[in-house]
Amino acid sequence: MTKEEIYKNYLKDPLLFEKRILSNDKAEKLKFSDDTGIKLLEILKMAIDGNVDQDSESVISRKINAYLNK
Amino acid sequence: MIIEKIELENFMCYSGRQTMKFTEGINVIVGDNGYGKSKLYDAFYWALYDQIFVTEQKKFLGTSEVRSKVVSDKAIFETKEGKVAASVKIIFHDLEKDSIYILRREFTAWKENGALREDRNSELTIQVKGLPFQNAKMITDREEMDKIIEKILPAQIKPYLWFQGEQVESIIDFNQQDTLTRAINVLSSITRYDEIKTVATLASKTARTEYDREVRRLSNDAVRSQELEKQRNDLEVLIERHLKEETEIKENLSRAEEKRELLANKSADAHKVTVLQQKKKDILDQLEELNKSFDDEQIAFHRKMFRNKWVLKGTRELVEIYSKRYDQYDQQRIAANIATPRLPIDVPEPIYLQRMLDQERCLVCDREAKKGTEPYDMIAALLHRSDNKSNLATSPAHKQNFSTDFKRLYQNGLSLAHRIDDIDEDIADTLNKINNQRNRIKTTAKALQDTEKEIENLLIAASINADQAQQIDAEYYVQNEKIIDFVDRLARVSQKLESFRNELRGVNDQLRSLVKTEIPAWLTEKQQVLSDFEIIAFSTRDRVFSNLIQQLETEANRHYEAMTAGNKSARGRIKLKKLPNQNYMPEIIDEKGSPLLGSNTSNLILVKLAAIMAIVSAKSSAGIVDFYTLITDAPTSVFGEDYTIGFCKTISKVYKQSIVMSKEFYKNQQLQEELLNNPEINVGKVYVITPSIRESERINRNTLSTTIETLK
Repeated sequence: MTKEEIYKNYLKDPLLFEKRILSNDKAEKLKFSDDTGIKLLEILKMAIDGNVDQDSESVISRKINAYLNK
Repeated sequence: MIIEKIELENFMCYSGRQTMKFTEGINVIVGDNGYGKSKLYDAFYWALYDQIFVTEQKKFLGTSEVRSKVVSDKAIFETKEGKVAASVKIIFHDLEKDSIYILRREFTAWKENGALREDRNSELTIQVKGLPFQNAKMITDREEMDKIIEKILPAQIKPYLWFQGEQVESIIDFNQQDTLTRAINVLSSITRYDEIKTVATLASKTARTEYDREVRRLSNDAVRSQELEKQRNDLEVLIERHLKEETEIKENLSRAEEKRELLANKSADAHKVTVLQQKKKDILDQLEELNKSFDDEQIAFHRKMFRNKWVLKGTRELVEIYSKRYDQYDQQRIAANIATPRLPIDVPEPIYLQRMLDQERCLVCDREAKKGTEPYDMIAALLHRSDNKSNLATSPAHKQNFSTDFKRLYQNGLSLAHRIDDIDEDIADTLNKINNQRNRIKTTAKALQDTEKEIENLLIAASINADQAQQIDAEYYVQNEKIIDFVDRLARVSQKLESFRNELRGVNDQLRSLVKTEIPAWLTEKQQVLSDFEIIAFSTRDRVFSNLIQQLETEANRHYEAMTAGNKSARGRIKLKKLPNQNYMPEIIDEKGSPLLGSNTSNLILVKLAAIMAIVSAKSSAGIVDFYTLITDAPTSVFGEDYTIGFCKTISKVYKQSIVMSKEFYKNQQLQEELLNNPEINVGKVYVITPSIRESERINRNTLSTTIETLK
């Protein structure tokens, strides 16, 4: 499964639409390489990236926390 | 990674040097029992994993334990002195990178003065060609060799790609609830989502800790904060504990439901048997009572001869004869002046005579007998007769006075005479009663026989015995009760969890309310974002998994239908059923979704194979079927011809390459033709193996070798 495919699965989550973080249309067109400026989506990509690259869970978690601390 | 070739030299029954080439599609090795199919499977296994399957112990053992058993007996026998070795070489081709891996394992022994000296271990060499035309490079680093073996066939997917027929049962075991879930986890990409869940939980927890620390720092009331934090910790511990309990209850509930379902099929019959057994017991009790009553009646029957005066049956005439004789006797006594001509003494009895005098009325003719009148005097005279009996004369002929005895007999006869007429009716009633009892016993005995027959038929139909029926019935009831109990407990635990969570929210709100200054916005936002991340990670995983299950179900049914197409029996369809403990189990259902119980072994094996094929061929399985070869020994041993062909068709479509050892095609020419010529089967190489050994030398394997004939 590619990063793109994994990302697409997360973009289908109802929470994103409930909280108006993303619309259906936008979710369909979004690519993994797109910079969204939405922190939730960026950390999702970081998690997917790290997982596919076989980083450990604690390393990925630390990177995410560091990103959100900025 | 496909297998191009295997070369065997003096390996078990393959004496000398033997080669088999393989291509894409389904490659079949055909041979009868004991011809060397399993030994070929062993060759593959030994080359990669240094183990062979020892039939006697039903397990895999390493070379250090089996040693020269891997060497051909013929090779050992024919070697007089010196080295004798067994080796297996397999050539793997990585189609993606076009690189070649050559694995060769060798075991050496020495014959010295007729005795065999064995090495302890085998030796593995691996050579790699980056491209087919390049020279092979020897790999000596142990770690790299392990990586190459892992690359050829990852350990965690090995059980699902290399297996013997009897191992299918354990790959997806209907008695182990997590085997299918485990297979899905191993073979699909779902573990990625599990790992991302872990990341989300970790990150969220870190952010929460950070947030809580800040809240504590900014709190106006440190003491109160501390209290609330303690309360929060306690609540978290309680929630953790209740979550564990919830999981445990779900597991137990799952198991109980599973057991109940297994029993469901037989419990209806078992319950009927239990009810009938009780009915039988009641009938037996009734029969015992009837028999006892009958016996009592039989005994009473004899007693009634005297108690009910049956001995007097037919004696009415005797009474009359006796009455006449007694009358004659009495008349004679009167004539001889021994007795009075009138009524005998005490007739009427004195009490009645006195009554007459008192009432001044004759009770015989019912007329007045006033005192002083003649009737009155006559009655008085009768009363006082006994005073005058000394005046009576006796004749020599009547010297012995038996009148009292005869009179007594006469009077007895009179009283018994009334009963004589009733005797016949009494006897008839009694005989009737006995007859009725006999009939009831007969009817009850027939009812017992019918009940026993019904029980027997039920037991035969359900294939259980009486004890098992009782056990099943009892066990079904027990499991049912357990389920009710677990559901109830689950509801209570869920309620408690909800309550604790509400309380926790309250405590968190209280903690936040103690902060009078602003919590940094970035921190609040961070906590919120990570909380959302955690929610999305969990719900996406569940959604992906549900979709995967649906997809697998569809795929599995596609394979199942393809494999069973040639057979006309009922097959149902596969349902991947979700259990309360979140595991999934395959089951066969009918069109209404009810379990189609009683499926035969072949169908069950096909369900398992279909489930495995669905998992390995699913889109999310990272191309397992394209990368790795299926090697399976005798998977079709329980199948009929239709299923065997169906299996071959499906396998050849699902896996890029498969190597199947099968005996089904050995003597069945038609089936062989079908395999070779059916356009729906993507057939690779087909070999027939036969042992080559003289009949007179079959007592051992000293001359055993295996002939390999190429059919395609």
